[in-house]
Amino acid sequence: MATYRAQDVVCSRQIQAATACSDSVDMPSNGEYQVKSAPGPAVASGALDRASLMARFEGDAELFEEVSAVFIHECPRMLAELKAARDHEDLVALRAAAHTLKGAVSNFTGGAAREAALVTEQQARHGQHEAFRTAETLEALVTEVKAALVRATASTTKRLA
Amino acid sequence: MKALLVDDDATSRRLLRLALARSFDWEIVEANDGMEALRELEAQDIDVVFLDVHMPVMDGIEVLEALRGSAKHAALPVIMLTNEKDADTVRQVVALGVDDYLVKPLSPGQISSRVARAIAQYAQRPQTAGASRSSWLQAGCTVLLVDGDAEFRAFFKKTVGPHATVMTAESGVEAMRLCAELRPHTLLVGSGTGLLTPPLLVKRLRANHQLDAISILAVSMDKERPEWASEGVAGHVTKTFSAAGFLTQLRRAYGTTTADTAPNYADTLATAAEQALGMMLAVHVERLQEPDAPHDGLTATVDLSSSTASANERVWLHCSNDSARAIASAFKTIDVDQVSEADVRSALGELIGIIAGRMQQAMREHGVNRVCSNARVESARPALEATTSVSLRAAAATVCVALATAVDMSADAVA
Repeated sequence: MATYRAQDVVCSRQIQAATACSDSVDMPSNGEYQVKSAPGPAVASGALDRASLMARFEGDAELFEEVSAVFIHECPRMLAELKAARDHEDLVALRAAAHTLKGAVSNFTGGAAREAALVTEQQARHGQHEAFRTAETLEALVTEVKAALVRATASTTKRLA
Repeated sequence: MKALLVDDDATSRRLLRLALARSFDWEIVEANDGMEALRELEAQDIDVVFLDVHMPVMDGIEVLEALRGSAKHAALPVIMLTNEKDADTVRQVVALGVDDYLVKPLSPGQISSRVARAIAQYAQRPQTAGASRSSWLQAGCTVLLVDGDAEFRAFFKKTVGPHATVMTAESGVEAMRLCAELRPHTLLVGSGTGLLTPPLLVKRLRANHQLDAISILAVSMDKERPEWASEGVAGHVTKTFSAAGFLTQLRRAYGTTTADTAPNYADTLATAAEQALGMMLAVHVERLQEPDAPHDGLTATVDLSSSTASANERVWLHCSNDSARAIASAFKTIDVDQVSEADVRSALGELIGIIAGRMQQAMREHGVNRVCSNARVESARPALEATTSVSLRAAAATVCVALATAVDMSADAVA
């Protein structure tokens, strides 16, 4: 079990390096976030290649392509909701947006983006304004996942063509 | 077959839709939140619902509450989509009753196998006495009301008509004739019945061996059961023109008259334990069958009615060794590498309360309103409690304690 302080969360590199495959975050009274190791396909630290993104799809390339397309399409809207919540300093909306992103991104990776979404959600739930800073990291990480999915699905499309 | 997928995350909805399409030839309807889901449920005939827990506007638990409180949708199969380990959330979900759960992020292989299993179990459920959540009134069930009030008879037809085959009579004589000719399942006896007054009508019906299987419910303006209904009458309904209020009362009273055979609480128990554990650990728990197990499990007697005349006034609340072993087997399927021991201990700690909550709800659904004896449960309880924290295999004992707790909770409610 690894332990992180809230401020660590803003560093996406640290999250990527240390929390791939994590599944849940508890917030104990000392303000530290405990990240527990959990089940799921192994996703290499920071790796967002096609193989790792497809791991949860059990080798079903067609399913992966279709679900990726939905994520790529929905991503701008989900990020816009996150940004709007940040702009309005609305913790309730931020929590909801982070929760939705967590669900969406976890279909592809249990790594840093999911972790950042989870921490944002937890911080917002507890009324912590650090959530707005964490959400910035979340936005960047989700954008990385989206870009990786675009690359991963484009290469398949090209190969099939 | 038509399935409704309710999730605010379009990516997860698409994954579920496509994974279902791989195995099932179903029509799929989607909803983005709970309110949209209710609109779809009102507009269409949905056969199964896949329901996310956390959603904007209206969450999954609120939708589940609405479904379970609706006569039309109470028995609709619901498969919960969850990665929510919070014990309170799991407690609410399990108490309300779901058919199965899928752990998020969704796995295509798990979707297929779990859903196939859940649907198969649902298909078998109506044959299991006491397991149906909406068996209180059915289309094939005939209900006769005798009451001199024409307005109330019209209200009765309009309100109960959608749930059962309904007949009315304005006098006791006419009711007697209809009972002899049509043998309704239930007779509701109101007031103003003419020469054949309510007590005379009940007396004549109970004296006729061909008609004594008809369940009789008294209907009166009072909140208390009328004096004439103390013998030979299974329950009482207060006269009202509120459709919801009348149906709720009727459902409760009717539940007390229909337990011809013992409800299968053991299955409810086993399913609740399996779901509670699986959701709290965010793993898919399988229940294994262990045939040829002895049947000398834990038993409690539950009184279904304060009436002394009903032949169906008692059911056996039974936790057989089979179901206890099934839960123990379920624990065996958990990959200990996937979950931490602390999580398992925590889940076990919550399990008793959650299962007890589900059991109490199930008993209420069957109209249980009084526990008349739980001596055997009590005598077994100390020994069982002593073993609950020993190991995962102690799940069997955990279940038995949960059963005892559920019985005690009902007893407390009466007191």
